[in-house]
Amino acid sequence: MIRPRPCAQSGGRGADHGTTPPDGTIGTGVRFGWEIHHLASVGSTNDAAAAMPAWSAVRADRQTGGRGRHQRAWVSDAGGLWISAVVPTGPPEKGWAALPLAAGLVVCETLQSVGAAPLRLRWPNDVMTGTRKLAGLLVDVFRPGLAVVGVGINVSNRPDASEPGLSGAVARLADLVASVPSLDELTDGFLGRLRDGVDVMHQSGFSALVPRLNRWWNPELPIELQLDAGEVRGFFGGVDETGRLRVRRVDGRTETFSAHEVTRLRECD
Amino acid sequence: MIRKLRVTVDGKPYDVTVEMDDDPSLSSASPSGGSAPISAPVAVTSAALAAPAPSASAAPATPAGPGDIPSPLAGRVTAINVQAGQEVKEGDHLLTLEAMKMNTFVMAPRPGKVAEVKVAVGAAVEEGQALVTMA
Repeated sequence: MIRPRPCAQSGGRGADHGTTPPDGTIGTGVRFGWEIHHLASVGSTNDAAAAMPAWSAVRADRQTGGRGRHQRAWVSDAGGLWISAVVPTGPPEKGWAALPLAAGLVVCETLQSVGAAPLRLRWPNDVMTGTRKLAGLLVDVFRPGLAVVGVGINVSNRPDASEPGLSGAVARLADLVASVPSLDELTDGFLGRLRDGVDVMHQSGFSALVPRLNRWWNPELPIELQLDAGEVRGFFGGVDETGRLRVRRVDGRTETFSAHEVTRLRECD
Repeated sequence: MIRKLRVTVDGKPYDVTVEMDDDPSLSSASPSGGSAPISAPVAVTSAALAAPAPSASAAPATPAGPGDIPSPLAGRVTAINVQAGQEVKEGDHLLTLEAMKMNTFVMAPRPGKVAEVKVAVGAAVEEGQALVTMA
């Protein structure tokens, strides 16, 4: 249960409320210390949030230019949750380079709280049900010290109707739960948990989230890592306290790899 | 337990052997390829001990020196927006790094001229590695 929490209880790190709403805003509200701007349509919620202060969020009913990794398009039709949240980062020793992993945990726990199952994470932070993608994240650090955490969750939208090529590859929350939560409820659940997760990172560092995070991977799934130096096969063993990937080799050894060493992680059938 | 780490102090890399016990302390350290002991005030904290060691497969890191803009984190270069000889303003977007679906924009810290772009698109870079040299 997310508890309302005024900014003053967070060490004065609340949103600089009073930000001029972006063009096209149909509503602005303050929830759990976040200032949330709701737009009917926007190119990309991450881009709309790029210049906003910490603890601001932009939510849109549709994105016309939603982005995924490597500038791939992200289908963002009506009925899904498309939201970007600006969070303050901290010093490297707190493990902020692993923020995308922490954000994936936050989305998993948000979806679990509304009854979605089965869920798992696919490295680094795709939220999957089986082999279908339910939610995705993209983080942009446009300015030092501030990260924009962008999330897309398929709820009652039909991305495969908008993009037939996605058929069989995507899932939606409406097919996983008996009672579909409202987008407002999901927004509150996500932002409240994201705030809690960021607070943990500021206070204790990313390593404090690792035990919770490592419950969400499928350790039995064979994987293949593509590195500059070649390929590595094994089983995904979660991440270590700094966010490095752990891979169990068939001979029983466990090796770790930094994220930027990995050009691709492929799940094998 | 003995661990080998590389730490960068004032832009100079040092290969460090660390013996971890109840009170982790530095047991020996020497500049890369050398044997002189560290006299610089290097604070090796438990967080630093837990930091990932540089990747053997990554491109050799060029430590940042005067005029260099260091990489804020380990990642891959996905875009370069400037070239040598180009005048930039403070805050201009120089290049973009990516790791784990997090794009980090690297901006010009001050106005000036780009003397050299020291990385290429697709390169893996370490935290602290020189990315761009400003004249």
